[in-house]
Amino acid sequence: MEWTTIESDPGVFTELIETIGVKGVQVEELWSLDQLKELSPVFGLVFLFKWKKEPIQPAMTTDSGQVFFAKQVISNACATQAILNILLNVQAPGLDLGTELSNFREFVSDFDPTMKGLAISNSDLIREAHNSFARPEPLVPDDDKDDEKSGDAYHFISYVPVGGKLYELDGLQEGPIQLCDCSDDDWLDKVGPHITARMERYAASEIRFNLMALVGNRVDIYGSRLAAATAHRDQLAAAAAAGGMSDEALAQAQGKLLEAETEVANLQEALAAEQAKHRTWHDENVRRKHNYVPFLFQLLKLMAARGQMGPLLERARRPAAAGGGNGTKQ
Amino acid sequence: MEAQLAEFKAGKLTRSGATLAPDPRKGVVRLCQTEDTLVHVQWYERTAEGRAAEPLDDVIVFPGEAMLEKIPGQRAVVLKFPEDKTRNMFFWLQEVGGTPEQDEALVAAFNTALHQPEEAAAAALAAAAASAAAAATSAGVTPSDALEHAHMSTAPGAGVMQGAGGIIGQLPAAPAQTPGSTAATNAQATNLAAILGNALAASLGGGAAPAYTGGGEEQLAHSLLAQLAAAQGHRRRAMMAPGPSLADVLRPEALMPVLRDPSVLQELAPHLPEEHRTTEALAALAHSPQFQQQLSTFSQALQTGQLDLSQFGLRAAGYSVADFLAAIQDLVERERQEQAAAEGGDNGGSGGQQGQGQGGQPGAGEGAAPMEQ
Repeated sequence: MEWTTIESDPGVFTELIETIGVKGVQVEELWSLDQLKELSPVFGLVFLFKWKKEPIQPAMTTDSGQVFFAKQVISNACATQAILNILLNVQAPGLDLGTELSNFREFVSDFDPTMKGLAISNSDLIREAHNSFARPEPLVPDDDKDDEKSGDAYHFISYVPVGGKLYELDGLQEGPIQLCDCSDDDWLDKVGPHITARMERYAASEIRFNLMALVGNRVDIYGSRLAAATAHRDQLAAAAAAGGMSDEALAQAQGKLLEAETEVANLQEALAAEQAKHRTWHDENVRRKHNYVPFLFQLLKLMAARGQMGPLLERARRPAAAGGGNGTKQ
Repeated sequence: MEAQLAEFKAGKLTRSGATLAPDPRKGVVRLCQTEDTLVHVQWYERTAEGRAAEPLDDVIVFPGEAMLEKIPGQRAVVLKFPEDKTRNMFFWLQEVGGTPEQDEALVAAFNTALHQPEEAAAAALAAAAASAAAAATSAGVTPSDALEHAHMSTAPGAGVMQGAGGIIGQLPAAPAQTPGSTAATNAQATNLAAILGNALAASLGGGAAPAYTGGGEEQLAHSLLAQLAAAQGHRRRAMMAPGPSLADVLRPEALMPVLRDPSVLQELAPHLPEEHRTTEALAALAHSPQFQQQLSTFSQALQTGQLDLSQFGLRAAGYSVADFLAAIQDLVERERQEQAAAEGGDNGGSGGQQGQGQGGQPGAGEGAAPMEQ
């Protein structure tokens, strides 16, 4: 069962999660832990970095117990696996795993971490969703295979609170690593120092890393906040319009109404921006999955037929820019 | 086809317990690079006629995985695999009259070739070609004679015999020229270009070798040599045709004027995702990283000769993007001529494009030209 490499992009992961049937989740890229305040509810964090395949130093792990933990079995699947290690641990009102994934969790609940990892790699549902984001053949570059052979790989580590404790879930370790006690409200504060320590360690050796957060679907969240704010505003508007108030009370009511109007306007803007972002993600995914080679040929033939090859040929005959002019690798 | 990188006469030493026992057979240790860029260390038995046809030992070695070392106090060497001692291979040197310095030089040359196979292949190729070209300056020398000369000469600077081996495909007929004349230099460049062209085609494993005729062979030869020399280190990087990538050539600015034309959208729509069949989406596509990335990947495959362009009806002179674009232009021209011929008897049709001449009209085209799908 082949798992292809996919891009580590929040738009890719968000749609991948939806394809598996999960509702109410999206993935955001973080450049600073401060962003987390705005993104509540945060279900988990994924720390991603490029690493040389060195022997793993075994950490102190605990028995899984109530924690869903799957060992990493297939290297190309590690991003998807890290995300599942979070999703299958979350109990939150806004998050719906969907029938198939819920059944899957049920099915593997008694499996040990290795078996869970194997079950993921054998799951048609998950694998097909993952592979649907691969670049169309024959466009897979040899470079991807090079990374495997040269000993580099991407490594994903998840952070998630479960049952009052904060865990680090590293697919290459034997079990979950318990970091500290926490509550749903303070786990983000508590995870901060661990993430920062990792970032500093990797920055020192110039290892590239990314941080992503699994958060509630923001279109849904802004949508319901907007509905509430609109209702509130309408209420205040009705109250202010109703007569029989003193001038002072009226002034106060109108002040409140203005605040409510502003709130509604802000939320409308935020909702529109979020919807635009999701549309952009969708467009990017459509492009990722489409093979543009036939388009390329037709476009070039068209330009040739219109006598417009000249400038292109001229540019193609100039020596390449330093570094081979090959375009940048993702 | 293989590229021979180095070889030396040696017999095998087999380990029995803590000692090394010599295998009395005469042999040859050979380093070569196969078409798939993998480097092989081989041991062949040797007779008076030369090396046996097939190696008795053949291991693939990745750069950095192994190195040859002289065993102190003996005329013996070990191919050492630091990460896996069980793979170590031991040989006793059979090169005649070897002084310690010559043995050291042999080991050094082997290691250089082992770690930089492309350069070694290029050096071997250049040495053989130079010998062949030099040998061809006397009148009446046939290509096979030239090959023999090349085989028997020792490559300058290296302590190792570098045969012309299987690199050289068909040598063109050696012209009779006097040395030192411009014609001789040009002939050498032409020969070298043809040789390198065949070698490039052969090593890239593609279909027909590109036909290097016409002007510019010398530059082509130089640039190809430079490419071969520059392709080192990264073990999977194949040789790349020079020039910018398709992603550089098809920058948004270059495409936007065409893409804004509504008739263009109509023609291209079938090749676009269903929900992106608008002019805005086309513009977004041209600027998108996804499109740039597909262009880049396609270009890399093109420039390393991994694409069979004939399946698209294209006849490209080489692997560069310029060659590709020229081939497309050529295809469009041929299609236009075929269509004109097919409609040949049709005099003055309804103001159609057929009559517009063979050279292609410069400037902004109006309306869609008839295209064969």
